[in-house]
Amino acid sequence: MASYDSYRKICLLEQELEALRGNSKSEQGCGNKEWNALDPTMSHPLDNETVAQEADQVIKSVQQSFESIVVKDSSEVEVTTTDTQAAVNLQIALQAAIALVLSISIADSTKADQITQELTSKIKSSQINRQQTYVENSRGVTVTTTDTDIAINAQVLLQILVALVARLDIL
Amino acid sequence: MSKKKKNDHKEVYDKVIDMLVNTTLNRHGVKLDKNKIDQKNKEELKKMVEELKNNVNSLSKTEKEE
Repeated sequence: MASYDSYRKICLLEQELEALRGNSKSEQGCGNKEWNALDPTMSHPLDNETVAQEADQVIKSVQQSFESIVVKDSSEVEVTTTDTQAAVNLQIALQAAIALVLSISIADSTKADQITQELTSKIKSSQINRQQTYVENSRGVTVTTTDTDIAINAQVLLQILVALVARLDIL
Repeated sequence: MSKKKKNDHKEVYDKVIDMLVNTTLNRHGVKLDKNKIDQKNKEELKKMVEELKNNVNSLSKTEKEE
């Protein structure tokens, strides 16, 4: 697709030429050119996938967590929150454990890999978590937040792991 | 939510996961071989799963407390 990337390359070359001539072509810069819905030659900024990318595009898990807790003019406020990075690491550890169990109990490593991918990709989903908490003019408040999406994902992975090890008489 | 209802849900989830694992393994014509893992590895796996269980539980602890 002759897309945004191509446009950017051409634009950068033009800018270099203009700079050599001592002129400044654009104040905006090539990367910052605003997308125009009415211009048919411009591809959408999110539509830059190529056919080659499609082939190896697996279901990817997008996890983002935005959490903000504001405490203002308050005392004795206790805040407990989930460490998202630790939660994501736990999820990765669970996936690794599933891969491990399958790889040591299935002779054919290709099949073990395929099954691992199938079982773990089933539960992958796009997750964006937003939490905002505002405490103002309060005393003796306890705030506890949990990233439910991540907690549930980890729970399902754990269940898959337990189901696998149960078949191996491990638990 | 009553405790009984929660347990009912757990049973359903367990069944779903069980079926998911079964059908995936069957589709690939694979059976997990218990004998491929020696006792030492079994013990280590058991410890690992228990640790992961504790970690997951602590992650969703706040939900259960509510």
